[in-house]
Amino acid sequence: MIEVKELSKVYRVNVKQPGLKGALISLVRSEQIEKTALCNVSFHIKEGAATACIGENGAGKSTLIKLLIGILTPTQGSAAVFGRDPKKSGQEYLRRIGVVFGQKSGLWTDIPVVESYRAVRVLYKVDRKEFDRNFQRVTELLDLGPVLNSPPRKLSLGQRMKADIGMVFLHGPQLLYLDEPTIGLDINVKHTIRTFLRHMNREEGVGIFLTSHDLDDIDEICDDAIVISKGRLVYSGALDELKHHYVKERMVKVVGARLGEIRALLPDVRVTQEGRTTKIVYALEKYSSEQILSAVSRCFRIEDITIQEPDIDEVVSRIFDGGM
Amino acid sequence: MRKFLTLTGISIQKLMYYKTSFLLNLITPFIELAGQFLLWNALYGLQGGSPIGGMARREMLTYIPVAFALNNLLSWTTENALSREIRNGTVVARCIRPVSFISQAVAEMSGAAIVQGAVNFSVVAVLFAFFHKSFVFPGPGAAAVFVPCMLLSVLLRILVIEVFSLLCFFTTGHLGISWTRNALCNFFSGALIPVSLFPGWLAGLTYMTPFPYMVQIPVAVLLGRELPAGLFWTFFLQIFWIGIFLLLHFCIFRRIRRNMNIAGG
Repeated sequence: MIEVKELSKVYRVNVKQPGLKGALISLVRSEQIEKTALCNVSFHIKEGAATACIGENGAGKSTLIKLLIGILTPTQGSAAVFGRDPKKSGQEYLRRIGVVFGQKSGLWTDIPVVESYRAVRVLYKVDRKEFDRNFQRVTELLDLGPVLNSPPRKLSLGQRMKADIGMVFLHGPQLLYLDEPTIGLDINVKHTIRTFLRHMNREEGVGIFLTSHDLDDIDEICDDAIVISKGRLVYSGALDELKHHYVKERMVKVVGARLGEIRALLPDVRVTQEGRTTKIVYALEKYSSEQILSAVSRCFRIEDITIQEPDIDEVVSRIFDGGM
Repeated sequence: MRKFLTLTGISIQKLMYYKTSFLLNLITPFIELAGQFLLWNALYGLQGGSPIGGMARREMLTYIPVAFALNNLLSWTTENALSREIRNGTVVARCIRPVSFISQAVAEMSGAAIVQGAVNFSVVAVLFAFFHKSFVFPGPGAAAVFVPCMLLSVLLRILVIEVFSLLCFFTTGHLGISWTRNALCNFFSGALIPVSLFPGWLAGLTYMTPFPYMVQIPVAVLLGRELPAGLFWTFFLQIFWIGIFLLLHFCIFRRIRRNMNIAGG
């Protein structure tokens, strides 16, 4: 569905020297430098996939989304979505996608939300029956009833974001681009949005391309990931694989009475105690899960046991701290 | 066309949603109109009622409200909406709608112009009705020619605003661009002083720009005054300038898309 080949984007930006002298010089002579936002990025995303785009601030994630939408022109390389260059696909392409920028609303801020929704039907040439069905579905799933008659300017951030996300589903997009959709939202709204997006991806087959600094968004919504650092692609593949590639340790939490000293059996584990819960951290290259479970069953009267899955926070931190 | 009308409707709704702001935007320009009346009345009083720059008192008193109605079709807020969106990055919402960028701008400003135009020309009609002896009444022929000339002038003004707004992609000082456009339009369009009062060389120069085709020329058509070119060429030049600004839009927009840097990532 998305095919990106050696995509690069270089911006020319004005630079001004500091101080009064710099300000005076810039009046007569402007200096431009080139800033590489993306450099030779190539990847492939299959139809209906939910893919996270992970990267630090300024990594080039938003630029990548804007290139895929067709707003920006690449300096080099190519991108094809649904088999065509988004830049040349025009309005037909825009009717097949939905775009949510977390920090920039797509709604008209001074008219009631429902008026923006009605406009979508005409602007996207949506059949009335399909529109009514989509309208009812987003209103129910995102609990938009109470906000439909208020202008976005008067809504809370969470309500506005839900209204924004609801709007992009009204024309039945096949692919959704989300640029930090849950930024600044409380946990309840985040949960509603994640549940909704997951539902639309798994049940309705809507492809998702998501950038977020909230790693729970990525974990709950996406199956695949691409990682960009300083404009370069450093990973493209399954999210699970990414976790397993970077997570060198795993943690087992055991609730129950201790019968013996686990370090006697597994000398290289780290053990911490929190109330009745014992946390055992082990290196994956030293011990297998079988060895750990066998030792735990001998040293504890187990009431509850959980093996903590690798956390995406840890993965990202490792990638950006240590490079790939 | 349905898309265009929908966006025009949205623009009208946006204008009317905040009542106080809407009413203030509609009414406050008339303070300026009253000021212009007083000023020109005083000037004609000083001249003992004799013509100024070839314009009789009644002609000038007719010129002022019609020029005012044409020049104040868009509020400062509406004129600068696109510039503000470009500076704060919300312009991205326009870029992802399946409607051309220019259609959105024209539809939005047309909506605002319809509302303000209805009010402005109602006020002109009321003035004509109550003080008919002080005004020159246009003949039906002049009025019929005035309507298309006025519509073209509104389209030209909208395109001028849109093209100037696009320049905000290249600078952070959007207010400077807005003030420049405002100064050029107000002065050279004949909105403040009829171009016929300019020195000959400046008037000649002014008629080579698009600005008089926004105010001066349509009012001259309505008043039946002599035009710098014949009626056919007047319409031709209006359409020519519309074409030029459309061309400028496409050239600038193409350049913007090559190196667009939307504020905020």
